[in-house]
Parts: sequence; structure tokens; C-alpha cells
Amino acid sequence: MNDLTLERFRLAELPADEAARVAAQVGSDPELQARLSALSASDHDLHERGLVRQLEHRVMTGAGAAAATTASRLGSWRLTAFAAAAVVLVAAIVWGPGSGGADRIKGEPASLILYRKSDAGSESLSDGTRARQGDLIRVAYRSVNLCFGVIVSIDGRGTVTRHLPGQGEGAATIQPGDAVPLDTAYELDDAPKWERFYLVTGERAFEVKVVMDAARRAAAVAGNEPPETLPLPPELRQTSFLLRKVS
Amino acid sequence: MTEALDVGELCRRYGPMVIRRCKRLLGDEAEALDASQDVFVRVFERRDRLDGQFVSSLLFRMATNVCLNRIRDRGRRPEGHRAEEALLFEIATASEAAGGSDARLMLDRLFGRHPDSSRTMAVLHYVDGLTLEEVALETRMSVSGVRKRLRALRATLKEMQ
Repeated sequence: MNDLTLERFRLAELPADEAARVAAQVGSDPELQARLSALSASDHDLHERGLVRQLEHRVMTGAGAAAATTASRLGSWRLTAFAAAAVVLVAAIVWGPGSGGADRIKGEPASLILYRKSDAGSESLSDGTRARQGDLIRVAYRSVNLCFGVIVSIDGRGTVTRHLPGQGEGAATIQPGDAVPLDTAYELDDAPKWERFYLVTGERAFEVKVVMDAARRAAAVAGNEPPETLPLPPELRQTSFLLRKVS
Repeated sequence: MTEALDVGELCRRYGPMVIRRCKRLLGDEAEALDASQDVFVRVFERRDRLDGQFVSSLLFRMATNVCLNRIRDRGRRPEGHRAEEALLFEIATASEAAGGSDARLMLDRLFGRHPDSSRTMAVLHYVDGLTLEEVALETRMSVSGVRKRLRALRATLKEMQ
């Protein structure tokens, strides 16, 4: 009997008739029984030595995976020529002061970073920064853990804009590691007062519609101040970034 | 598997099987752990395609494919005398069947089908000892389809020898 069949038998993932056949064979075959015992012992050994926990941690945090993917993903800003500034931007993200992948990703599990094109190239914005119509904004996200995510924004006119994923019904996969900018820049329009960006993440896959519906409900009751949070199910986490609009 | 995918739970439940599989093919535990990480990340990325397959079966085949790629990328024949190691190296470095099969594979990809590689089938049959029928069940192909793919791969192996 091959290893795959035995492994699937132990995991109760054989079709019923095949499982019954294997069970009958195991019952009368000491060698098969010994192999099953060895698999159980191996499971125990791998758990005891922490290898399964290590595997889980590595998959969830991307440890060992290449961190410097920002350079290849930033590319051009598409709306304007921005290559030189993009190189500076990448350097700031990947090799900025006090950086090192592990230091950089402490704190909040997932966060938004916003950049704005400027005469000097680009600038990293702070939450609550003043911005105006025509500003070119590049939204980026960063996560400690492998998860699913959606990015939307609500502006002072109550318009909800979807930023990530670009299409499809399911939330995007978010790999852990350094900041990942969205593919295109976003030009601020003449909506008044503010625009707030929301990054919603979850450990399990979820639909974009959940976030869009929540954003629309929040937008409908927003007044002069942007909603701080979206009314989401408890299993979803959120973080936001505010831009204050000036004339 | 179209409902929510709990990657942590997947690792805990299937991790030992995947690590064992990778260790058997690669012969090194540290490299097996690296390869196992690749396997679970791939499953996560391809979660939309997990259309009702038994997860254990899929993970076993994906682990096989990941390990074959690593064996191929080592670029050197194994120095030991284990026949299985030598066979794995030959399979890993064999090319997929050329000509008409390439066209079929392209059509499969266009229509969203993702058949297992001939190399993975070869490992299941020649290394793991699955019968052609068992390989066909695992890969959801016909027996004749499996036989054709293996025959084409064997021809490639013979050319290399």
C-alpha cells in the first residue's frame, strides 16, 4: 500500500468504500499496522520538536520569503512619469533609517501608507495630512501576517471608491513583508472636506461586497467628519488613513 | 474548498504529512521545511481552484511538484547510490512532453484546467508505486491519458540516458 493512501486514511480523506477496504487490510496486516504506528510517531515527533509550529509561523509571516518586492511592484505611477522618484521611494521603504524587515513590521498587523507626488519626487504622508484636488496619491499596504484584504475610501461627498482588489468579488491575498503599493496612483477630485482610506483584513477569505456595503452605510450617515470605523463583522480588522481636503 | 481558508489550521492538520513527503523526496529536513512552506503558500494563492478536491491529495501532489523543482534546480546528480534518488533526479530534470501535448496543456490552461505535470505523475507511479488507475484517480485524468503522458516522459528519459 502506497504512502499517500495511508496518509489519507489517517486523515479520514478516503472515499468511504476505499476507507473500509483499507481498514480491513490494516486489521489483518501487522506490517501496515507498523507503518501506521510509525506515521503517528512521526506526527508526534514533528509536533514535539516544534517543526509544525515553525512551519505555521513561517507560512503566516512569510519568514524566509523575499522582502524586497516593492521595487518590482512600484513600477511607474502611470498617471505621470515618476521613475526617479519611485527609486527614491523604494529606497525609503526598504532601506530607510532603522529598517530591517523585522523592525519595520512590528506593531499593527496591517497598515496603510500613503505617498504623494511632489516637486521633490514623493513624500510619505501622515494620517490627517492636508491634501487638495489634483494631488496624486499612491496607496500602499503592509502586513505582518498572510491574510486577505480590501482597501476602500469614502470622501466628503459620500462617494465610496474601491482600491484593492482592482476587480473580482473576493478580498485580495496580502503577503506579509514590506510595503506593497497599489498598481496605480489615485488623483484626488474636488470632493470637499476629507477622504478617508480603509484597509480591512481578515484571516479567512471574505467578499469585497461586505466592505463596500459597510462603507456605503457609513458614508450615508457621515457628516462633517469622516467615519472612523466601518460597521464590519467582528472577525474583520480595519485600519484607516485620513486626508483633510483644502481648497 | 470554496469556503474560507484557515491557513493555520491547514498547517497544523496537514503539515506533518507535507513535511514527511518533502523530507522523503529531498532527503534533508531543513530543505523539507522550506519546501513545505512553499507548498502551503501555493495552496493559499490557488485557493479558488480547490474545487472539492481532498486537501491531502492536493497537498501531496503539490509537495511532489515543489520538490521536483528543487531537485531540478540543484543541478547536480545525487552522489549517493540510492536508486530512488537517481530516479527522482531523472524525472525532475526531464522535460514535459513536447508537440501535441504542449498544445493540449495550453488549452487546459485557457479553459482553467490545471492538470498535474507528467513529472508528478511519474513520481506517483514509478517512485510511490501507485497503479495507473490510482494515478488517474488522483490526477482526475483517464487511465489512457496517464499512460500517454508517462510514455512520452519515459521517451524523454531514454533520450537523456
